[in-house]
Amino acid sequence: MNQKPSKPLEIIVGEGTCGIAAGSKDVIDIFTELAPEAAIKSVGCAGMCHDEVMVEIIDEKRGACLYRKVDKKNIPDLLSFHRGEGKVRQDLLIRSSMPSVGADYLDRQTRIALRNIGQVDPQSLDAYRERGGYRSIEKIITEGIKPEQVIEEVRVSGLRGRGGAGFPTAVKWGFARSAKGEKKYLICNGDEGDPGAFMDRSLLEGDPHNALEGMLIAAYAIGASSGYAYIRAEYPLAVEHFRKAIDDARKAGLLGNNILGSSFDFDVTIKQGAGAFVCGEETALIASIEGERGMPRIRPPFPAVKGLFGKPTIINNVESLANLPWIIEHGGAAYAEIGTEKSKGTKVFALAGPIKRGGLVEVPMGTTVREVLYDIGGGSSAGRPIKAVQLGGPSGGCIPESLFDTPIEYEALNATGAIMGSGGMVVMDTKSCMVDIARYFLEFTQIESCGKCTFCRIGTLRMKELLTRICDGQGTMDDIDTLEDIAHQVRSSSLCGLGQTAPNPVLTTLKYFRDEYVAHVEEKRCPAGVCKGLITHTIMQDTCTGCSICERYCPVDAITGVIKKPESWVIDHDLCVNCGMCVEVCNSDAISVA
Amino acid sequence: MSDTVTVFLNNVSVQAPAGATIREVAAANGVHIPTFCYDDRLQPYASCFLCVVEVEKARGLLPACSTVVAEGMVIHTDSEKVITARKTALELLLSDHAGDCVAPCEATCPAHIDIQGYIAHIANGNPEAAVRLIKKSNPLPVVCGRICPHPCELQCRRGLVDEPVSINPLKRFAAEYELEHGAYLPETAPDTGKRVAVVGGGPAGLSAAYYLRQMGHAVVIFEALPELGGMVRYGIPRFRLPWELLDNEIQSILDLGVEVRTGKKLGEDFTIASLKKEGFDAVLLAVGAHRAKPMGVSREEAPGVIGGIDFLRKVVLGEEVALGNQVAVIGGGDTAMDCARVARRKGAEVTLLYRRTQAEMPALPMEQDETMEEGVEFMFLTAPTEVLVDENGQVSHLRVISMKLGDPDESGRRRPVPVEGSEEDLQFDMVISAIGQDPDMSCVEDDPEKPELTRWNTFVYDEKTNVTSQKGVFAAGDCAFGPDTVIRAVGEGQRSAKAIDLYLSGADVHLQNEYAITRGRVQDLKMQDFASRYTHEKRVQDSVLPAEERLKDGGWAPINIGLEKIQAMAEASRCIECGCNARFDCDLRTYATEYGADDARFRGDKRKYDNDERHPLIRIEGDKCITCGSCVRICTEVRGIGALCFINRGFSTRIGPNFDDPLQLTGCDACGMCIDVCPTGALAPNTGKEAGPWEAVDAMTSCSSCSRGCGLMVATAEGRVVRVQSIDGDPVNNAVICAEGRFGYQLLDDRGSHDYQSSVEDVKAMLASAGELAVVVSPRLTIEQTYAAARLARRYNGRLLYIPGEESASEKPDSVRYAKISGEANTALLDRLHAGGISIGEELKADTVVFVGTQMPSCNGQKIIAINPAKGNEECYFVMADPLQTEGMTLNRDGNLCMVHAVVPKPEEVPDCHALLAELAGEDSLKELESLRNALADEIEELSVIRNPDSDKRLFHSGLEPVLTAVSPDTRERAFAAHLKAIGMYEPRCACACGD
Repeated sequence: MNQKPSKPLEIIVGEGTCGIAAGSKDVIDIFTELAPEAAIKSVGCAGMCHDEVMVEIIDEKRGACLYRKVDKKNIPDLLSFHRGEGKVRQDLLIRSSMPSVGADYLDRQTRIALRNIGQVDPQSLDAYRERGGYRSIEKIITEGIKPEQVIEEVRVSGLRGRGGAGFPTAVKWGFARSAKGEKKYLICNGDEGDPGAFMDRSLLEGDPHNALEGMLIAAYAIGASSGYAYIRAEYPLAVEHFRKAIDDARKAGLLGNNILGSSFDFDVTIKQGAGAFVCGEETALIASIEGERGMPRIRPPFPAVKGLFGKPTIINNVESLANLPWIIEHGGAAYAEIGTEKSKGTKVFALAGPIKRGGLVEVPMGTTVREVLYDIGGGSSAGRPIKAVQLGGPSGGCIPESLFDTPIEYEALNATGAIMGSGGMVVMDTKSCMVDIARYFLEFTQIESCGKCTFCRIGTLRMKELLTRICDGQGTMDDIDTLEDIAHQVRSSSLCGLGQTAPNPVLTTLKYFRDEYVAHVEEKRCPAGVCKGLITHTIMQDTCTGCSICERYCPVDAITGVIKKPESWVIDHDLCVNCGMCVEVCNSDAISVA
Repeated sequence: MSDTVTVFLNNVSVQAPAGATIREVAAANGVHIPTFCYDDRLQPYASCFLCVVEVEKARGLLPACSTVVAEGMVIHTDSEKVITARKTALELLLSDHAGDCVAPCEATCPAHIDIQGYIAHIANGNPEAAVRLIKKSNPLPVVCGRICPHPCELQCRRGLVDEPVSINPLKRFAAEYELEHGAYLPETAPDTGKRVAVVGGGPAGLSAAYYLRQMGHAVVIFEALPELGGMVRYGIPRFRLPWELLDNEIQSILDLGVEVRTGKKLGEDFTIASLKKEGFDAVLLAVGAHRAKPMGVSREEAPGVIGGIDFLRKVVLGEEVALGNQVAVIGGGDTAMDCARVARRKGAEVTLLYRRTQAEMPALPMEQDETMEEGVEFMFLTAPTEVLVDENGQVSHLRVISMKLGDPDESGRRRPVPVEGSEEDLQFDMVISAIGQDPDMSCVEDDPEKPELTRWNTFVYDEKTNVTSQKGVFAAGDCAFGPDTVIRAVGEGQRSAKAIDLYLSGADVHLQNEYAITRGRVQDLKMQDFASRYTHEKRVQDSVLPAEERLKDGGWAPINIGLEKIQAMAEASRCIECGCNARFDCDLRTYATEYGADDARFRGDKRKYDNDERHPLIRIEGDKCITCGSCVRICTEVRGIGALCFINRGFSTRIGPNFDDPLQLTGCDACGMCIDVCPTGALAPNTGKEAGPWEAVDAMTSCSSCSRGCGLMVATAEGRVVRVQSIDGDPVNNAVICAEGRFGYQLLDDRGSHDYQSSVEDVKAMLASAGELAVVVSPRLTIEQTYAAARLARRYNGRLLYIPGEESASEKPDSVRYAKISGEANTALLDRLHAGGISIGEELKADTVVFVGTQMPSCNGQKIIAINPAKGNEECYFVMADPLQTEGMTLNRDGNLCMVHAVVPKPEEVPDCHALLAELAGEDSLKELESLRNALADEIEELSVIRNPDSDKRLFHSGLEPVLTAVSPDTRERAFAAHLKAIGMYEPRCACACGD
């Protein structure tokens, strides 16, 4: 053996929840089998959920190559290439020194909160440290930076709450810092409940130490000695990784008493939430930790003055916390250089819907919606025009195409009727019915209402019922007026943010897409062809090939015809339930929906 | 920070203490803000959003209950936005609220009689009370009890179980019972000096007169015919409605001081204008509809053809009617039946002709059957087309045509269509046309103040206020709405009285209906929602004599027999009490009325739950809950128990016992505070049946269950305790009472009540053979009472003992606080009286023990006399019984202890405690407080201050009041706990520290 062995391959597999769902475990098994010499490691989600399973392969000669959609079929090709035996799979290559697809997706982002995601082994304290982790808290302690100075640094950074409301973090801390009392609490709000949003999950799964370091910095700033990480139980991997991070940090002297030899004491307990959307609301979250039913409480007193167990309490969203180590390391001013005048830094969005490249996107404040959708997201995946984007989930609103040049900043988004929210960004094309979308979100908020306030508990149901009537073609113009009226009243007469924002999807769709409502009511027509009560499915015989696939998938046997005789194929409208299955399976777009 | 802030409340600048809520500031300035979820005893919660107010510059509306005022705050509590929001909140709550504010029978009754209420009185064996309630809406219950077509029974939900309750026979029973036992005369208000002319002495006019008199107005009834009664006298044969009953009932109206002028006809003897000139301030037209409708066939004016109503009137008046041998009666209504039956009694052969089939006949089925049984022949699908006469011009035949049923007409009945060529001539020598009546408006034709008429020849009038087109002229009854039932005329009479009263007072004539929600009509409800809860029981009805009995001796004697009391009570107890238990004190209903809320504005799902009646004392009606959460909070925040909780999320959020267990399996100790705070009828005492609801009179008293002395608000109706609640702001207990105080009364009823005097005699007799006697006084007694008790002990050579009270070993959160002897005067008194202290649980060595205002743990076979008269306010005393009869106010004659006094005694019946003691001691001279005080001052020099007449009765303000402190529990609570166990409550957790 005189041939010098080359350095073994390094294979890094994305193993966030999305990666696991896409088959990362199998991928690891196959790599283990086919490349026993390789060093295989797991990292969290890189945010490109649309491209999972993502694998980065590093060899001496070709450097690092990030691949998308890796599976058992293409693994041999990848290995061959990196062993110097084959060609590169350009179609799978996202980023390397060579030309690649999808590079825009990552290159156009500015990653601060997400900076380690997909790069670092989330279960390794050392890996985090290798990338500069815990340097910020060490700096604070070793340099003896005072809590007030930490707050000042954050004030300079202009960081605002990333949970949605955008309250300046430093101001909030100031209340708690100056509140009287020995005992203070810091809570990390990881109760991410918006359908379509998953940045908190990814941050906790993929880079737990970063969030934990953020908690340490916040706790130090406000003088808290106890912390809770409120993480929803539906995020088992996040809980697991965060728990390990706490344990490792504690062993490393980063948690507990006399942290890093200082007089700073702080420890963190994980509290798993049972999945109630309302528990993302601060006072409901506090009630939940206290063992009560998760129902919002009257404010004032604000939690910063009287919160958990009656003590001053600061609740920061995961993403807010994830920015803190960077801010301390690089200085508030560096952070404030990014973004716009009133909205500083970056914001993470979870981009979803019929878009080419969906996933986690971190962009500087001030980036326009259009840039996110087209430059990063790559535009529509189905070739249909994008007509709206829903921001902020069930609490947010729809922004129409005409407002896509709105910059992403708190005030500008609020002016449209939508909100920044926690970062859900759902794309809708012409196949989305805006009335149906509003109904969907109302259904969500209705079920998730805690049931306390009259307007939220009953009003949202009545709104949903009105929307259902309109979707079913049984609505009247009076129903639209009633809907708008009750929406305004639910907004103005609810105790917490859930009720106050629940009507937003309805109000914004009424504002920008009223014509769709009117079409449902006056023309008994669903322009997007979604509302089952208002559409009919018809086979276009001149396009049909007579393949019979629609017949086989039709659940109610409403389709008949003779194979290869397109003119014989018809749908019996008495039997058809407008489920749309035939449209889905038709290979020749031969089914019209009107 | 300044102590006060200045805020602008509805544009008025007011000073408010810093930290006060908007609600508190508004209340202090006389601005009422509605709320469901706020309660003094609870932390502000802000869930109902009824209390919203507009605060300038604030986002959205703010809940006043929890928003703290700030300097310069500009608050509007009555802006349009606020009113709209409150109305919407109510409408949203109502859209998910299911129940019946009033029972469907009452809602259906045109006079809106409180049927459920009076039936409950009958079921409780109190027909007098039933009549008093009926007469609030109907002064003619005897008349209606016999002849009303009772649409109420058609809507009776008992019909979904088996058969409707016999509502009308029950009314008749109560009304006739009352007539026999002396008619009830309601009070009349002082004379107002206003005079009202009532034209027409029928049901509408009589009803109006009855209520107008009660309001203090002078009333003169003008009647064209010789006697009062209108259609009920002249249109209803006396075998159905005996005249003497009618006369008596009318007399009970006139006894209120109504002037009557009979034989005076409008348009002939006087006019509306002349009445006004005569000085009447208002005129009510209630002239009825006494003109028979013509048949519209040729020769119907011929001799031998007569209108049905004319025929009946002539018979009543004793006028000659040329009655033929073969009589045809045309029509299918009750008048046709009556005409046919009267003609039968006059000896004629009678045939009744009706143009539809029997199924469409409007007469009550029972009337039809009775008419047939009496030998009247019925010809259906037959209509007259022509009257044929003989050579004298006298009726000889009736030409008729056969009909068939076509399509339904606007009344929903199938329209009769003539069958061509089917004419035939039937031989009749008399034809009575009874196809309906019209008002005869010739009486106002030439009146200078003639009101406008409709095309149906009735007065144009407002169906809500009875006003006509002429100022000060009102109309009611058949002449206003057209021929209808007696009960509708009665209802109109009452409503017009209310309207006239408003008019006379110079106010706007506007009558607002109280909001009422309903579960729906019988035909829209499902049988299984009701049937499973009750066992099948046939109804009891009036019985009718057989036909041959009915026709005996001319046939004018009454033909049907009413119910016996025992039957009536049994029938009344079949009522399933649909109307809400909270109808008189429901906040939701009050505000829905105030804000004019419409429960139909928001349609959609309603939560639907079965009533939870598993707990023997507390009922949960989930359908009525508005989820304000007050019950959950009082149980958790105030009682520290948390037996109730929220269940589910979103719209399906509801309140229930923890884990949906029966309440008694939770920590519930049945204090019932959840009932106190419930703004609707969702939480109620599970009293079982026959509990009304009735409008009740509240009286304050103090609980005699233990020596703690909690205030109780006792609501009574017709001598029955219907509800016990805490008293707002009671300093003793912060308005929180226990199960015993709240529910103990349920055990009082029907345990044999004693009148006061015989009770005293019983006790005296017992004291006379008392043997060695110990008198134990409560530390809660006043000095005077204690002294009187000492005199009692002395009189029977007994010892005076007192309970100094003792501290509990531990101050548990749920331990109650008891009075402890304290104060210089008390101590001095007891010392000088040589009283001895005993501790709770200590065995008493005596043959007989008298407890005054307290109770003791062990009896050891001794005779026990407990004197515990709790004095309330001036209106009411309430004497609390012991459910287990271990103590009491008096003894039964058989020697068993009994302190059961179901009925609240009138104030004059129960003297102050000291006077009772003096009387028992045989020292009548000491019954007067002054002489007692003098005797006391003579005996104990230190207390001579008491001689001063200015000193407070209880010396309360001299630092001598008892001190509250935690002491050991007494056995009474153990006994009550055992009792709760016995009535099916599983292992209740006792409120005290007794370990049970």
